[in-house]
Amino acid sequence: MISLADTSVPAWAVGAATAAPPDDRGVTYLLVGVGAAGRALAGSWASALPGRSTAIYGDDAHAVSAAVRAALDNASVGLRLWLAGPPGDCLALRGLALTAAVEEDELHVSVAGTGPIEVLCVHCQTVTTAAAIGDIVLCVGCGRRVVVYYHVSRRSGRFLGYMHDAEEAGR
Amino acid sequence: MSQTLKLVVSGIDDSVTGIRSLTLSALDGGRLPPFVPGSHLVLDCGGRQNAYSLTSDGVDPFEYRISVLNVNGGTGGSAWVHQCLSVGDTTSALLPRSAFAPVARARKHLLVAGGIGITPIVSHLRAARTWRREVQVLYVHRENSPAHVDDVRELAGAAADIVTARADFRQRLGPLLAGQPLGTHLYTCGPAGLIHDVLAMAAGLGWPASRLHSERFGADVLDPGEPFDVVLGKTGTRLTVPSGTSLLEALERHGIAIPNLCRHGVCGECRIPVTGGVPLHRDLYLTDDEKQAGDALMCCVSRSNSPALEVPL
Amino acid sequence: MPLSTADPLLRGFPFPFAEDRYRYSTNIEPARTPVFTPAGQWGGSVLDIDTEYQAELRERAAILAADPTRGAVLPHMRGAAWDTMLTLMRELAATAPDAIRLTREGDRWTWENRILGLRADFVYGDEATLPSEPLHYIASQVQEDIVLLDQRDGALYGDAGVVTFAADWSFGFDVGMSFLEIHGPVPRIRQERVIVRAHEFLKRLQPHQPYRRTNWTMTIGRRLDVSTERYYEWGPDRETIKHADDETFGRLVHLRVEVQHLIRLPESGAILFLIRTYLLPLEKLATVETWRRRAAAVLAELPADIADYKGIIKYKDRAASWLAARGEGAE
Repeated sequence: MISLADTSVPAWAVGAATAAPPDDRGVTYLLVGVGAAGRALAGSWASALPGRSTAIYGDDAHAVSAAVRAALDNASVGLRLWLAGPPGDCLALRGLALTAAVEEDELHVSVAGTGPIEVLCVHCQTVTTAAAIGDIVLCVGCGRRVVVYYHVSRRSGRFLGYMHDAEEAGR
Repeated sequence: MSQTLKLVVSGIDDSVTGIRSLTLSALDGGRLPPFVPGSHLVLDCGGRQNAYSLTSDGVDPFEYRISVLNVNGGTGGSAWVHQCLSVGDTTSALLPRSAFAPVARARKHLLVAGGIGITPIVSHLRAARTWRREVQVLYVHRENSPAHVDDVRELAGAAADIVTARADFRQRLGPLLAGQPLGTHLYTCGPAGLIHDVLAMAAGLGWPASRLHSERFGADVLDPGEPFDVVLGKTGTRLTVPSGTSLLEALERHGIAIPNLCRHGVCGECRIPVTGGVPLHRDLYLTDDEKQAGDALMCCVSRSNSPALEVPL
Repeated sequence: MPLSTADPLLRGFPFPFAEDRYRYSTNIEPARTPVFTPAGQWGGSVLDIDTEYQAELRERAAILAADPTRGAVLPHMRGAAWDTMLTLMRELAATAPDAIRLTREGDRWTWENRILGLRADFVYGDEATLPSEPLHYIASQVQEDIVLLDQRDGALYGDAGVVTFAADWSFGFDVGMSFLEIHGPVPRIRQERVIVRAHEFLKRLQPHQPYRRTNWTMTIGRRLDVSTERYYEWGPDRETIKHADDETFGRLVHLRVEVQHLIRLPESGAILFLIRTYLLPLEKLATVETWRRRAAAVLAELPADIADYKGIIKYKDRAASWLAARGEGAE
């Protein structure tokens, strides 16, 4: 019933076919590979860009965030940022990049592998991990049963979570 | 829908050869509408409508300042300003229009200008000072025509590189474009050739389209263009638009009235839909997306890239 | 000229239905056009100060103190925040010239709001000369919710705002999202088209030509803050209202109308989106005969998917019959 084109969730985050990186004209490339599949994919990009790329690898978005931020702080215009990893990690790193002044046409995301996503409970502002959109999880902050909604923050990569059964309390 | 301002010339500065700077105030001496940096004013120049960038401050203004280059072979608007205007004369203008605004998110603003193209850059520099934005300027001007050099030095100080030789400009451009921190946006203004060179060099150095912003000057001296045909959808009539005649003029001569105002590609009034053919956009009004869509054009200045255009008129 | 009623809530109420049936539309029209209603009038100015002014501002202050995430100004929106403050100061001074004044002498601006007993002497662009950040400062003096949209690369981004009276959305979560992202997900193509057209309109907005539109839903209780953040507080009311007797139903169920103003800020070029919320309980709505009849018809005819999207599916049919019944042989 919900048309994905009308949501804030990028198509790649819900399993749409992974796009090949754009054939574009960056001068240097920052390649980030998260997880085993992401590492393999980013590695293949690196071999196709000899002498023009720096690669950062890690197990999840948190593990690579500091290094990515530092690399972006020192970067010049002409850089392209390519991300490879599970959807949740890619959403978080996309958020980091966009808030660090990366423009959308400098960014490419290829989903590789699977992993958890993050949901922000809008009632208590706590982050809980979840498996998929539409799941109902127990908020680790306030204990409410929150639904992971089709609404993702551009800046943080987290999904909106709200109390699933609030109206039932009125019965 | 377009509102007009009644203005009086309250100051004239002819200190720079070939450039006349005007100070305009409201006829009633009151406040003028504020404007976004990089905005232009469509001024009534003795019956012709010309667009000039505002160089003064846009917050709660009581005056507007513009600088007019004396263009030989133009439609005469700039000649009128240089020869016919005196302090105390009145004229009118449309509300300022924003088409070259600074990007709020930019970490740094790189401003590259040639000649009279410095005018919107001065406006950007004023706002940059108010909001403490980081700027860097490369400005090339004819040796005997140092327009706004004092303004640029005052507003940008050591961050401004001002040259008079084209060779110096070209030599400095490469290193300038190659070493900008991520987050910088580039704004360039001047003659079409300069803009083309700057954008081409930037693209070659990896600048993505989202970071490149330009405003082409010399809108009152457009080249006459190649002839093309236009097919009128309602009747199937085929007209030829000769070199030197605009599509607007050709349609008007055929008896079709098109709403229009500035006849210079800035105000947006003469927009017509296109149902066939590939437009050649030469206006300052449509967005990049709109130009790419190819389903409309400003018929007062734009022409055709294909042998014929089809319009539903 | 219609007679003004004594009840101020009725007098300024922007009844939203122009027909006996409601469908989504872009319904954008020029601002500052007064609308005369059977009970009074509204819409003559961009900002509206009414009898609820001080109460609603106190409510806003309390909400922000408890949850500062309702207000945010991303760093690049500083200029737009100042532009908004100056623009709204000008509007307030024009709306209430006897009590509110904005003057300027060289670099120094003086602001006086005698309704709230406030005065500020400030230098434009200098945060140190204001008691608080400019957007928050002016948000504490207008009943409207404020969202600022940054236009870049063919899209609009909600990069600043103060929203304390949200109708089932979360500004704090949405900060930084694009206009289209904020409005998703939409269950129906018709809503999507309306949103896309509104988006295209906003991108072409020019300064000094403000526009407006209205939006409506219903709220249980005279409750301005029905944001997603507090859903656990107001959500249960959608169930408990089913057990209310008729008198309670008419007292608690409110028609909620938003008057939204769309303004291109003149100096920063950002878009200012103002949302002014009005609540009127059904029991008062029913005292204006043309409103009673029309609202009953609209609610009875409203398709289930629209009612669901507006969050009123559980009680809108009862609201329709409640209003219809008030006309049959009543008084």
